[in-house]
Amino acid sequence: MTKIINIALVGNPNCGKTALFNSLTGSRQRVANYAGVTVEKKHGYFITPNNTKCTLIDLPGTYSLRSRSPDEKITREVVMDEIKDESKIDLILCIMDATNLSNGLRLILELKQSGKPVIVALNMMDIAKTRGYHYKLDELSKILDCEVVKTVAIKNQGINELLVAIDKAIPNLVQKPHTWSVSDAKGVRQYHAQVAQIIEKIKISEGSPSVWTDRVDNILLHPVFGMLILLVLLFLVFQSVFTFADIPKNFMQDCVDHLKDYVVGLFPGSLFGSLVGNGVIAGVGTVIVFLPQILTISLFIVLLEDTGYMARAAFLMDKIMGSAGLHGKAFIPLLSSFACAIPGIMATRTIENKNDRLVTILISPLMTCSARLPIYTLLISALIPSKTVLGFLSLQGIVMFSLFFIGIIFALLVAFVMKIFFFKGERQPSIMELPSYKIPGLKNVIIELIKPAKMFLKRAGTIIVSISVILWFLSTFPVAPIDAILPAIDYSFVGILGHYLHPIFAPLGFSWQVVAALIPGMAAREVVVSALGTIYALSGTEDAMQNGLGVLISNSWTLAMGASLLVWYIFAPQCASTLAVVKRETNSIKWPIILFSYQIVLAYVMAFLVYNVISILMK
Amino acid sequence: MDLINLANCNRYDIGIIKEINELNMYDKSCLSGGEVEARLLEMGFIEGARVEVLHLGAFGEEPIAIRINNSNSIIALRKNEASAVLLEKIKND
Ligand SMILES: Nc1nc2c(ncn2[C@@H]2O[C@H](COP(=O)(O)OP(=O)(O)OP(=O)(O)O)[C@@H](O)[C@H]2O)c(=O)[nH]1
Ligand SMILES: [Mg+2]
Repeated sequence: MTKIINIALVGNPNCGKTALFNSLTGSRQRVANYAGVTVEKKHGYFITPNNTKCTLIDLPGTYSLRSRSPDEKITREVVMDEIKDESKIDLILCIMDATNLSNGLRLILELKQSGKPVIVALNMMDIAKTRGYHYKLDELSKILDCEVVKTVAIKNQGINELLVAIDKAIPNLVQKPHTWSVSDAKGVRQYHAQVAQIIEKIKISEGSPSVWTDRVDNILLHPVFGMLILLVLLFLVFQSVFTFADIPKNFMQDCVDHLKDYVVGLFPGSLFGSLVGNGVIAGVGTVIVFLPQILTISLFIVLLEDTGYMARAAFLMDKIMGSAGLHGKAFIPLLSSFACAIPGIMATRTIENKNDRLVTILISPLMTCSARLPIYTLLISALIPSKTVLGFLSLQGIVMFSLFFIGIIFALLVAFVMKIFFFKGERQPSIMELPSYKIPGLKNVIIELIKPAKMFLKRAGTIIVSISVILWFLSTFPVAPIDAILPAIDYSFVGILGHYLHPIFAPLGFSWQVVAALIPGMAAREVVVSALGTIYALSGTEDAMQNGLGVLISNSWTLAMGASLLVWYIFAPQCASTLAVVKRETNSIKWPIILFSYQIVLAYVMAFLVYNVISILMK
Repeated sequence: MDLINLANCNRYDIGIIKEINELNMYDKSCLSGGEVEARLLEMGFIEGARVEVLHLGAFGEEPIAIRINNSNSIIALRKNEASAVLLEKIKND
């Protein structure tokens, strides 16, 4: 049995570590154009041409081993074998961005002090070539006393050479004594001096930075228009949810409706037909039709991340984030939370200060995540006329954008309040890197769209199906007495529970059906739509049977009721997985409880206000 | 020649870093002594490097975006951290 070689992938943020990890191991980890994409260690496997098995560990990017933030700490712990019960690292694969050599070289000098053997991959060679960054690599290899391989990770170039270099290194992997210690400012200056000497020796031509990045930035980071462009961009995202995503959505809706009618028609009057038709198809179908919308949001976020705009958005928002007491970087997790709060919460690992990170974690769930789209879309389509404003803007899109905007404003307000009362502290330094723009690769974009689609369909196929079936049972049994006057569902468990809890939510204008749907909706936000579908389908009104949930809502709900439920969904902690992740990331049960409580209070108060104000205005 | 503070620089200003020193900061950092200096150094600031102010934040305020030497990436920082960096301004070419 030969030994498995453990290789750690270390380098500055955004130098292409994950891209290289994917090429070497065939994985599909997230690659995107901003610092701080990878915040966990990820294991992958490959076999060298000489048949040695290797474990490759992708790590968060770092400038040094001082580990200022939780993600950088992970890198330090792995490289320095600080974790018990984990196999030791045999070899460090250090990646450097060839267009930003000095940052990379400082890290390598530090890595060499771990005493471990190092191989260098000089990545982004394509850009280095076009921009004229040329170096004598054999000289570099001699000075660093290790192999230096040129790579273009996203085009799989240099991978074979890298594998050969790894094979060559394997027979004599020796650990030299460990001489590393945390460096202070003086230590970093020494590294700078060493690096300057190295670069002097290996430099052929100095290269020049991307010109069109500067040109694009002149527009996108413009002191006045920059902010406006950011707003317009976000606005377009939510408009498109209602314009072009609506076509495939309506088509899918028709298919689902026909399928349901067909199935119910196959077993006229039977319980089984009702289970499949009203339970499974009504439940899952009402959710699945939102796939195009979720993909639209994901597409925009992937494009923002892959072009390099994400870091610019953080730059533009820095002042506003700062006035809420947050780190500029905090806007990146918040923007990521549009797709889902969970990766957003994970992304807070790049924030150095513990309190700043906590506050960012606690406000991320207020961002409009894609799981809210089904309920938002359902209610907005049902209650807001589909008019165009100013000739081209959809009114529904504007309402959607306002909901998202309310989320952001309240997130900042909550952060502000928490910073004043609970996390007093001075402003933290905020230094970040803005990468040069890149054109997103089609393959990468498709991979990143398949991921949320798969996850969404998997949830529909598992959680939502099972909840729908359970809900169908609970809404069908016990069956109504023969002499029943009310619809049958009123006598079922769901009916009983809904009626029982109804008084708590009556001040918010929720009907008992909504209350009953909120309970399974705790598991995941999109479930509420399917639960409403099932409950109304079983409430047996003609409307619900024939025209679907949207029409039923637009006919029988008041605007105040719909608005109140929308507002509830901006704030309410209707997502069990988010709470679980907050518990894991903060390592305590206290924070998810605080998160849950403040969200529920906020949701209740805001929904109450909105319901009553609109009710009074509409009188 | 007078040294000017990076935080006071205008857009397109170019200068050579003469000193990176926390004692020059507008507001004292809440971090332990030397930490801000170490972070700046880590991100590529160093005495002798050439810096160019590329962009200012909204309405000409913070943060500022600068390029160090001719690295292909840009560093954004708030004025308080920038105030630790003293430059000798060189003629804008
Ligand atoms: N042109 C070019 N782009 C590359 C190359 N390698 C990576 N990229 C791009 O560089 C960006 C960063 O790549 P990642 O692999 O996510 O970088 P990372 O080092 O894992 O970044 P973090 O996880 O944030 O530390 C992405 O936009 C990639 O498409 C390369 O060799 N050439
Ligand atoms: Mg990565």
